[in-house]
Amino acid sequence: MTAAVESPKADRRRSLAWALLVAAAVWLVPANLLPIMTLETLGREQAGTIADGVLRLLQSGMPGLALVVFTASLLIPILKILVLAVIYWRTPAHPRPRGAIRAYRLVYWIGRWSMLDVFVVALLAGLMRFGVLARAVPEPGITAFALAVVLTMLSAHAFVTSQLWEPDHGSGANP
Amino acid sequence: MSDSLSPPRAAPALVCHDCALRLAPPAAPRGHWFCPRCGARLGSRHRLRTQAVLALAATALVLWLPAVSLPLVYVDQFGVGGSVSILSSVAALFQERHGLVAAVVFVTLVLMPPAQMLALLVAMARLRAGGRPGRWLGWYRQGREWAMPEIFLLGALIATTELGGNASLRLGTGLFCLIALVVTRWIAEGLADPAALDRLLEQRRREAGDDGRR
Repeated sequence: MTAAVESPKADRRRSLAWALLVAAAVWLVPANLLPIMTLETLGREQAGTIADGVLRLLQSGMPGLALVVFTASLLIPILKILVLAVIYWRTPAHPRPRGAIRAYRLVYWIGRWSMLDVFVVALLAGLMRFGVLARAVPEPGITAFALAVVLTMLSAHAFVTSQLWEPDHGSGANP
Repeated sequence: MSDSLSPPRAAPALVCHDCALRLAPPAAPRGHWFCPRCGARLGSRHRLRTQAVLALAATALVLWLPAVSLPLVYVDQFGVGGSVSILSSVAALFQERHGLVAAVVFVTLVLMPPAQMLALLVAMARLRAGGRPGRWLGWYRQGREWAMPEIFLLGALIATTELGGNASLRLGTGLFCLIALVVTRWIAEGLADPAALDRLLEQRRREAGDDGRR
């Protein structure tokens, strides 16, 4: 369908979804490049990015947890933004709406699990605040990451799924 | 997911919540059934057990206060002890000048879980009283994705294993309350089946429309 038959509300909501998604993609860059947390153990300071956290888990012999953190913190945020961008791009009147809504439902509910790293940092920061021998200090990267995750969730929220289909003229006339 | 765009019209009673397809309501209960166009589940095999959902939502609300305020983990590093609760880690983030992260953690763990369970409680109580849940049900649904205690639990598991090497840890009461809260919320949300709820609401609306349309 052409944009003319589209309701202005859906149009506005799609612009909002795009804007939030672009903002999320921008914040994802510092989120992955800046350190999210500094660990000070026995006088040794070690600032780590998200990827460092995954490596640390891998090196301490926990490949299962490393895989979970890798998926939740590195893979899902990027994948969710890409999937949503492709869906928004081909809307309205998506050529394959059924596949699109399946992908949308999937990333919609999986995306929140990216918040995992924010909670890990929050807990470590709270637990190891006054440690004499070991301390954990949150770094700016975690703010960027939290923003990226929240903005992606808001973007998916703003998108109106019914515009994947052409407006439903038929069944209105035929009861 | 997103609300439908078209305003509800009088004749066909059922609108798919995902693709806004208008359908005739099924004449008889037919178990699980799905939208023919987008595959969203529109009907449920289960009847809505409002009483059970009420009880579970109330339990989750009671568990909330100890879950956020009591210590989750005690740590002992070479004789220096410490503990952490959800509220104390929010305070720590705030004092480390990570106000935004503190706000996100506060909203997703302290604010949204009880707010969402309260909305469910009020909605169920109103349904049981024969009324309409009104906005409370909408708030419950909007809040669902923003309450993240189950994600925090996984985060706690990862944080404690990262620490495990150079500190001795003891689990606190707060953690057990949090686990109980997650399980209760999980069952409550499962029982408050969205498809069953939608169909019940439509039924109420039809009944109200039949004798109440002026």
